[in-house]
Amino acid sequence: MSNAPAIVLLAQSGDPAATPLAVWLGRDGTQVTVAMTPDTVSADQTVWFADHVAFLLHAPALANHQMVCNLVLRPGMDTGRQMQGIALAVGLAKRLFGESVTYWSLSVSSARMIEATYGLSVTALSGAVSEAKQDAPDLELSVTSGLLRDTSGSEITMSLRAANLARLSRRYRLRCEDPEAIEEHDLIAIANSTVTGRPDRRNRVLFILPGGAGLGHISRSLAVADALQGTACDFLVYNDAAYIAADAGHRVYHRQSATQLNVDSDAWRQWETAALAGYLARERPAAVIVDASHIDPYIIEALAQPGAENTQLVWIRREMWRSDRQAAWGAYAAFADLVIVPGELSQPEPPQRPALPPCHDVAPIVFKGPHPYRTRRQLRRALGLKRGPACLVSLGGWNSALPRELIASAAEQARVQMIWAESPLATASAVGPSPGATLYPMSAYLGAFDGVISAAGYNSFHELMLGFDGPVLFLPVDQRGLDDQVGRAGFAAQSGLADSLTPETAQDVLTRFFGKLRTGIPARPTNRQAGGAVEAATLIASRIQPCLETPDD
Amino acid sequence: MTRPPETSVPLALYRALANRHDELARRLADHEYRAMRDALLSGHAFDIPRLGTAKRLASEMPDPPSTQAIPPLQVPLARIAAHPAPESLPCVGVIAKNASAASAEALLGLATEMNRAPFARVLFLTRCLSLIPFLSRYGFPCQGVGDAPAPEIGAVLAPRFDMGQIRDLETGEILWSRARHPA
Repeated sequence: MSNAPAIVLLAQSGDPAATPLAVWLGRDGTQVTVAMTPDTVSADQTVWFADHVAFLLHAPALANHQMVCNLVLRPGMDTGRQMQGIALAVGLAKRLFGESVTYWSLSVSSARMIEATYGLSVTALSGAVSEAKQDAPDLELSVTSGLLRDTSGSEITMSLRAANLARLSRRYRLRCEDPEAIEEHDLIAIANSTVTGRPDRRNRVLFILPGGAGLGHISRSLAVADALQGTACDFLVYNDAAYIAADAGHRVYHRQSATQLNVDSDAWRQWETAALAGYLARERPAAVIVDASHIDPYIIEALAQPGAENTQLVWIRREMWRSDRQAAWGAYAAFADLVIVPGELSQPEPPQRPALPPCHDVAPIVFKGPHPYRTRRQLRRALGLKRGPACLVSLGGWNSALPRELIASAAEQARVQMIWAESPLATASAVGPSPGATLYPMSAYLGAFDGVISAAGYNSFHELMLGFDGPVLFLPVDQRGLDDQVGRAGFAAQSGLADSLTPETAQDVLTRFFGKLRTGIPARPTNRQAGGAVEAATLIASRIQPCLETPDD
Repeated sequence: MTRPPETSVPLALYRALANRHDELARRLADHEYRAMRDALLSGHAFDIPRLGTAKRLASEMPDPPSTQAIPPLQVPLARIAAHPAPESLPCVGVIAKNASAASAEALLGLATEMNRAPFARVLFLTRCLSLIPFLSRYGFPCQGVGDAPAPEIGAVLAPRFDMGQIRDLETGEILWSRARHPA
């Protein structure tokens, strides 16, 4: 039994017409695949060639196939020389397939040009360019530069190579100022002709989480997924904590990054592009939601493939990255349909940003998770705590032994019980002195403690500042390429919300911290809400919901 | 007349460095193996905090990749083993079904053999995502495969990882092989 698609569209790599052409060919539900080589073309498939170059390259290999050849002629691809190429292709087609050749063009004007030049009978795939969406932003095409430019205000530039024109035509009014730009007008014509098809988008979203040792991305994504009620959430996780998303009830795809596998990153990206493109074509999710510092190119490439034209790209990108990581995000944002920036308590005013497509600030996003214990007593009993003050230590990426010894010594002097939190992903060598516990999410256990010593990562910082009223001491992890924990901890210290420890002040700060802990006096109000997950979910739902309604045919 | 460059000293130095590298690699592998062995013998190797019981088997296989020729990925040898040319070892998929005592015992046997005399680059195909933190800790490449049958897994992953066969962790049974199921 063959599951092979009914139509194979042979195209050159990076041909921007391939995806909209495939979408158009599959508009009645016919399965279409885009291929760069004819290796797997079978006799029961209908073959289309996206342009004369693809035909010249691959048609000889299919000469023995008993097939009707469909050849799309595009005079705009470098006119002059190209018309000689088209002549060659037409001659070869007659020799190989005789009369079993059908000629097509992407637009009416191109059909007329070819008919006038060669006397061929050519059928235009698209009609006249439909009346533009009056209120949609303009996207200017330039095949010469290989760029698309949003000229309606944001001046966003994106690569034509990585664009899904069928998808972009749903958001933008594609245009080209130059009336002589034949190829651009052909691309606009075929892209616009795909807009009237059924959306066929399902009430499902895919969260993509990058690799790395932390739980920040998965925690924020789970918080948003919880708030997306009524929408099925899949997770594609390049992280060892994939099981957490499965435990939360979501369908999870686990894979490893090129770094984890220690393999060639270019080859890895090609595999990931193919796998993600296959998922998008099969599942037709309403949105891909990426929580990361940047959008990996394989995601852009996969969204450029046929089957992804109705999928929105949502980017959740928090602030407070080290300054050298700020500059690049404008380029990635150009590919997103929606950018959501989770709030940062330590940054009341957003920094200056590059001009972007719709970018929305929301309140801090914190994952609360299930709370297995209802009372403080139950919590303390589960953690094995005796009577008396207790402190939780959660140091994340901090791997210096020095603070642990100081903390343990100061706690002993203050007669405070300690629980050393271990990350679910920690190696055996990274654990602190006993007793330890693997606690996730931390917020579910804070009620058992009178104080917390913690790294200043996004999630830990906001869980503590918004959901815990005891004294907090931050030990910011200051590593290149990671987020600005030093800035966060510094803000908390200057604002009187928490203390911050440095090697120079360690002993005095620890003594003061444990003193506060023993008093039991609340250290800060907890009247600031972490409603960012609900706000983010509302934004996402408003983007995808209208397109879930199938119009009448 | 210039003298030819003196090359004998650098070569000897390089050989000594290479030998030292192999020795250190062996020591590191032994250290990692002992840590893994101790964890497996403790009975708590797979303990991790759970939000709840996973309501569905984790992950499902993606569609086969595109017809475009993509070079296979050469997964690494786990850190519990040392070999002078790990790329010469075949890639073997091993299906791990759950985080049970039987799995821990089978894993210990496999790790012991790998440490003693590496015979393959093992790619763990886990039906249970909670195994992944432990396996990843010791450098084993792994991928969640849900409940997909072995032949289906082989058809998809063999081209990606140049994988020759798939075995069951507990029984050692060959569940799929490229020789029996050529593409």
